[in-house]
Amino acid sequence: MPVLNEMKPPSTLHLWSAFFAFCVIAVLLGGLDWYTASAAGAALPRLEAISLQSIVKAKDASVAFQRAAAAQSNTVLLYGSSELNARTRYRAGVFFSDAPTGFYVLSVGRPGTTSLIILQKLASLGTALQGKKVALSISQPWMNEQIPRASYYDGNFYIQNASALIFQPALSLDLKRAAAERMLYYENTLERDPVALLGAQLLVSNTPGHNALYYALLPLGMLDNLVYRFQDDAETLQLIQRLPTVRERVRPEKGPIDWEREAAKAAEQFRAESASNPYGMSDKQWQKLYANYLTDPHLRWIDKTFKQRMLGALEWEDLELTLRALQELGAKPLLLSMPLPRQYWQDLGVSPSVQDLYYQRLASLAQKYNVPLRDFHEHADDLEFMNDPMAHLSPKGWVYYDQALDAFYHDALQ
Amino acid sequence: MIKRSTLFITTLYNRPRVRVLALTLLYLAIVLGLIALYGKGDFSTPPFIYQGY
Repeated sequence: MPVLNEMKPPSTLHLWSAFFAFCVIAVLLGGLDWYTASAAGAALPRLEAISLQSIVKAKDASVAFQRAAAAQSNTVLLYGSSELNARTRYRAGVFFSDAPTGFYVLSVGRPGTTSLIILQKLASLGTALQGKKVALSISQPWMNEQIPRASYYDGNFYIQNASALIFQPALSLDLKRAAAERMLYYENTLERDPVALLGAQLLVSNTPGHNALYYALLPLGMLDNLVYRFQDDAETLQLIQRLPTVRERVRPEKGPIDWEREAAKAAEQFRAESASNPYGMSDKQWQKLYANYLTDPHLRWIDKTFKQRMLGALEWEDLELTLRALQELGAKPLLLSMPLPRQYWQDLGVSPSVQDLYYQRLASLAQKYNVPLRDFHEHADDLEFMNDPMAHLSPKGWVYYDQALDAFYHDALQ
Repeated sequence: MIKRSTLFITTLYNRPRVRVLALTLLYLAIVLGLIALYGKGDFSTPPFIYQGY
């Protein structure tokens, strides 16, 4: 190293050492990120077949899996909540786990996940979503409460995703401000990261001085996000090592799927599990919860309260922010929504015309952002479509979801 | 013996290349130590009772 030998005074040597150490660390972390991306990509197909709760929770937390799926051209990302954890082979993640028509589905979501949480997950992927097909599964019960429950939000909140949203350079300041305002409804969740909390507060303050401070904080926030990314890589690699071996699903033949046949098979399977009630609900759920809803006067609805709560729900605002984010990130979204079982809701006290307000509101939002929508309202009277009235699909309902996802991937949505 | 060793180390340390290498290893050890101490991400969420959807 002739340069080093000639250097005077020798005290500058520590700067060279710092530079070399920085390079070594950068190469190591870059290698970790690259290795995690390839390992996560390879693990994707078998991930969906595992229903162990610890694995499902860790998978939901991992951004690396979502990033790996976003990087692959033959994957659709599906975001939703508890319906994505259904134990049926017709659930999209499982159904497409051997890519029968050329693509996989990575489903991301756990019980109680609502739009604000989904927005944060999407923000953590940033520009990786450019041109990517992303499906959102909307649950109508999200809109039955004016403010999404704090316990549900807390229970699905990941600080790394929230920080990614607050300091995401690919999103407009206006969108980040609106999202930060909503996130500060649950301020305690941000207290784990003072930089993210300060960023959110500065965004919401919205004065020229606070905006300048936000931009001054942005590099630190982005550095914070980089650290979260490497931590996420390490967590994901540990998860991949823990993944149990699963038997690969093998179909007799690949190619076009006979959807009517699949739906008939799924309906037949569910019929035996839903014979105890006139609404076609799962016997287990009916006995556990929904029979009581009809008899308990405190759990009944009237048109007026349903309309007020549903139309005034903040969840609509969160969903709109999510659609805006998808638009700004250049993703290709699809909105899926499960129908309200019409007769059950009518017997609960909500008339069909008021139930229809949900579909109308959803359709107008989809139209505003030019997003294709499948709400399956035509199945509101189909007793074999839903597992229960709280937005859980039956196996047959899943077949219809699968069919919509298949058409979405192949650009054949009608 | 000690004198010779000290002289040897001092001579070695006065060479810029050796000094850079030693310092680089020291910095790496510090960074790796910090990563080992504080690098584990806590992405856990609070428990919650699922009540419906």
